[in-house]
Amino acid sequence: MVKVLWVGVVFYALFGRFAYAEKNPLQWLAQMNQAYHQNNFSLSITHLQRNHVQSFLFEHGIVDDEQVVYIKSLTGPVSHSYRINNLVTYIDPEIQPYSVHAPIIAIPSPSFFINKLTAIEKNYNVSLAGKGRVAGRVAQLVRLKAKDKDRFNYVLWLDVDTSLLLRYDSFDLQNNLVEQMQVIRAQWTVQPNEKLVELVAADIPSMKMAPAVNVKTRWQFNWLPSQYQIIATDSHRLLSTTEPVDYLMLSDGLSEVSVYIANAGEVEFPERLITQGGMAVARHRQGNVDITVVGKVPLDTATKIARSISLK
Amino acid sequence: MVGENKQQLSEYIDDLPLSDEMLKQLAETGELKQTFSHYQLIGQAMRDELPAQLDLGFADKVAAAIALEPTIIAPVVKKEQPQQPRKKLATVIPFIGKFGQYGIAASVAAALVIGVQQLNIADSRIAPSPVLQTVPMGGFVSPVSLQPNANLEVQQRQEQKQRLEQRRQVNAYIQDHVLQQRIKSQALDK
Repeated sequence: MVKVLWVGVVFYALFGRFAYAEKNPLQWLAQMNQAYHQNNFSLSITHLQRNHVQSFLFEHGIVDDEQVVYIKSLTGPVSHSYRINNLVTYIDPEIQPYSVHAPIIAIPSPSFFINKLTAIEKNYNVSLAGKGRVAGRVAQLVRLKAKDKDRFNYVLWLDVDTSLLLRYDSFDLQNNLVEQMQVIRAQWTVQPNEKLVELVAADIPSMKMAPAVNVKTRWQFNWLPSQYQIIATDSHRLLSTTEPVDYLMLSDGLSEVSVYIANAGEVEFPERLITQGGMAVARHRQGNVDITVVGKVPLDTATKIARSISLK
Repeated sequence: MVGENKQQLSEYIDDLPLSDEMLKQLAETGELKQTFSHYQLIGQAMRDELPAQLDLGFADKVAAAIALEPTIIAPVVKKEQPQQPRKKLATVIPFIGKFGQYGIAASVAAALVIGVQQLNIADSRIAPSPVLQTVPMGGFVSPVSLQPNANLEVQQRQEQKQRLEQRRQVNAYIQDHVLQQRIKSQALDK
């Protein structure tokens, strides 16, 4: 028995490093997925969008077999969010806290690509792209090059030791940086952070739940970028203008696109624009309705989606 | 109980740690929540972090939005859908109004004040596509005998007004998109 163990240790000492280097890009991503679910770690994160930077504190831990994540904004308005298994709660200033059933918190973090391997494989050519250094650690770069011109490209930086995603950059079709999530300091611990343990123990009364509503839609698309599907539909009012809209959400498994149909208004609306955050907004008037498409996709793609909608 | 906690609350907003109990109370107590938002505002004002435009009438707008009946944009074909689904809609939508969409959206609103400012810059300098060409270039008719300057001023004012309105609308959509990403992520969880 001991002998076998020794052979194993020697084998690892000799070849372990080589085995590492030979991992293919998809194995890297699979390992990223796994590492994220298992470890206890604490991160400081910056999120850059063109000229705008935000930063967050990110805690991840396994408490009594439950995955717990806590994110606190470090800039701008104080806001907290946490996830215990599949229940995400957002606590923001000036409003009542609310919860959503979701696999991740919708804030840029190392969880962005988690559980999206199938979607990545379908839509991107994945390749290794050398090594770099981030958060004081050596990182393996993995490039996601879109197979068509209907989505942005990414470069992922994975920690060589733990496979955790330490940074991702997304680029538009002209290769301009759209956004960047970067861990600037990372710490792994054997035990989960005290805060997380307290969070679970506190047994905070459940918050108001955001409803999951899917109303049957009368709209259809004559064309959609490959792999994009309708994942949610409803009718609601926009908050600040109270404008009633028919709503459809599209997703390729990695990014979401919102499609709004509203009665044509008096105010002319720019047909195409890109916000600082890299968000494309395309508008198309069709008869007596205005169609608006919003999302982090190339502007031409947004425009094409807007033009392809029709009544069933 | 609430009064005692205000001190704590104030400390929290000055970035001192918040106890679980406080967190719980914050979620439960209406008055404390109100205080929280006020303190937050005061704190921001003191740190000079207030956005240039502060929308205090926000809650009223939300209420107004709820009061309005839901409107369906797609024309309804009568044959396909008899009475039943309509009834359903009537009971379901007010619930959404109160709970989901409008109660929630305020959080995103706070985040997107930044969005508006960002957008402004994008409009004028960075956006690669022609943006916001609202008033037709040579389209202003001015009789020769009148002072052209006055006309110019009117035109400029109109232009500015229209721009503001457009920004408001664009921002409303972006704000809603961010909100929907949060809410609809449950649809992704299969």
